[in-house]
Amino acid sequence: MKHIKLRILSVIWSAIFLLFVVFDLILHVSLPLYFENQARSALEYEVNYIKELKNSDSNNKDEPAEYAGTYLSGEINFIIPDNADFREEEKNNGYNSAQKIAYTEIIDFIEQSHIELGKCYTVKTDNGYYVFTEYEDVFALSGESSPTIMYINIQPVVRYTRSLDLLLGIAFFCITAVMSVIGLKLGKKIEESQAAQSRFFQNSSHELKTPLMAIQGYAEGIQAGVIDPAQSATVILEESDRMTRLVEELLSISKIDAHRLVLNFAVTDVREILYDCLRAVEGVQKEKNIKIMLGFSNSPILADCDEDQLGRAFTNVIVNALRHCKSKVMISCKRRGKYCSVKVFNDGANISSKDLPHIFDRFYTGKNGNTGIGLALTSEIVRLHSGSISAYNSATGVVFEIKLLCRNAN
Amino acid sequence: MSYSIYIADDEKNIRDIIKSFLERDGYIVSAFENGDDLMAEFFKKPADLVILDIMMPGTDGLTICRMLRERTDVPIIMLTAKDSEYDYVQGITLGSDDYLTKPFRPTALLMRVHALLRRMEMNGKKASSAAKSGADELKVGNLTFSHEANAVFCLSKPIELTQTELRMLSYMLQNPGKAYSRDELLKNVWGYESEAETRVTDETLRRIRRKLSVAGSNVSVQTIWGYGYRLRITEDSK
Repeated sequence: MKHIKLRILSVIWSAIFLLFVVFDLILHVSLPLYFENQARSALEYEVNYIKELKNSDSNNKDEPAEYAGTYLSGEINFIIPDNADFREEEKNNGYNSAQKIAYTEIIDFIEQSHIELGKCYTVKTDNGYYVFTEYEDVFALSGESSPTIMYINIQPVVRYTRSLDLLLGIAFFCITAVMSVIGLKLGKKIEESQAAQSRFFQNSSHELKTPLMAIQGYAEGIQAGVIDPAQSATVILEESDRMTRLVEELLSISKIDAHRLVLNFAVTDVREILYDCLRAVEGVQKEKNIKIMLGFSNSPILADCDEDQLGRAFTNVIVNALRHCKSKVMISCKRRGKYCSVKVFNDGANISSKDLPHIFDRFYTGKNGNTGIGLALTSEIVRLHSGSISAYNSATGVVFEIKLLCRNAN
Repeated sequence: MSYSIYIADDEKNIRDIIKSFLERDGYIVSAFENGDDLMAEFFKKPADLVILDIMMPGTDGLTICRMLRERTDVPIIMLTAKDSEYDYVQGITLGSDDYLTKPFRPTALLMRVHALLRRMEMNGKKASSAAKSGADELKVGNLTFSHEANAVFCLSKPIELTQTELRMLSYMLQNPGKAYSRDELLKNVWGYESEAETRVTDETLRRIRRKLSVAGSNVSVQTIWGYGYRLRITEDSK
């Protein structure tokens, strides 16, 4: 996948932008409409209630049920437009300033348009968002019915929700910033992992083709009669052994990468695993005529481990020691507190400070140019056993140390 | 006397090379493309040893092994390409005497064939003294070997062992705590002494050790480096 970082950022920004648009629509459109409807309901209820009062009063019926309007019913204001006296009084304390403004603006609207009694209308001005209705009010002091206006100004509440807009904008901006940083980091990791995988495949391919080349070459050599068959056969066998090991290692490390490696843990004596490894490397040992000295504890050293995998890990380290040593390899297996410590020492040359931090990297080719995946696999296996591995130079050679958590020994 | 061996593997190259190696050592070999053909021929004319690949067209190797086992005691060696032992070791131990994982050197197979036939020969001679220890049952730690059931139990649960592993373990159970040299084990279990075949012994003991551990036995196989092996009973407080 190309341009992962860009894709991740696009997804994040698009999502947040869409969310922002949706929230905005709700704030600017849905909410005002909702309040408007609530206001209309309140006004209509009030009108009906008054009618029923009127009916019960004039027909001597029972009073209507208790008033049960909406929460905006408490915001209803009344205007009596044609009462001149009232107009005079407005100059006094009858209305507050908001009501005076509302009065003016609604009256202006009514004078400009034709309105029917009982219907709800909306007036939006700079000063108010009025929902009003005109009805016949028979409770005028003079006893005559006179048209009365009642209105609700929902501007304050609409304004309030709109001020949330700013808060929302800030919140979304912050979220976008944070998510973008996280997304970029994630994208970078994915890109790095892809690059590492690509490098891994290239390296594996190269490492496998090398012994293949030798096998093909020497086999054809036998066919063509250009080389001694016995010698050829030896090379072919060696190279195919090398390939077998490599294929196993590649399979293992690929499984570990894909989290598909199934480890079968059992409580095992670590010394026995080491003995198995020693038997397995007898060939290499005899070839180079190396002395392997053992310093194992006398009592069992038990740990939870997968024998096969841990054995492979140890073997890689031991083979590495055998390859690099001059004449001596020492292996110790002892208990140190709650850990079991396996040390493999070889008396070869020190590892250069340039190479030392990289020896457990995949396909890192050291001085001797051997396939650099054995130690990488070892380190992965040790990690899967919740252990640790380290390598350091000593005065007389190089030490690899693997630590594992011990089970209580008996 | 030449032993006859039947081998079934769907890969011609593998069939041919194994046949060549076995024939060079004086065995009479018939190679089959699949297990069904091998079985059909076997029941007409039995062989002294059978080698079966597991993944074959037609009836798979494990089933063939089981079907053969129902009617005969012929030694059977299984060949498998699977990489994880635990995957199939259950099936393999149902009746087979030994197994090898591909890729293997033909000489490794040769070793096992020699060892197996040698042991069968030995067992044939010792048939009458099979109950030599007198005890029908051997109890060591939480293991019980039953001569009659021809199986080893750990806390009354049978441990899946190949015939080879069973022979080895039951031999060692006769003298628990005794240190056996590899040569001794070779001679008494395989009846053969050879540098190459000590590897087979090592491999067999390794498998036994693992199976005992997995079965939760308090008996373990301990290496005495430079000498041989010993069974060890641990006072376990798991």
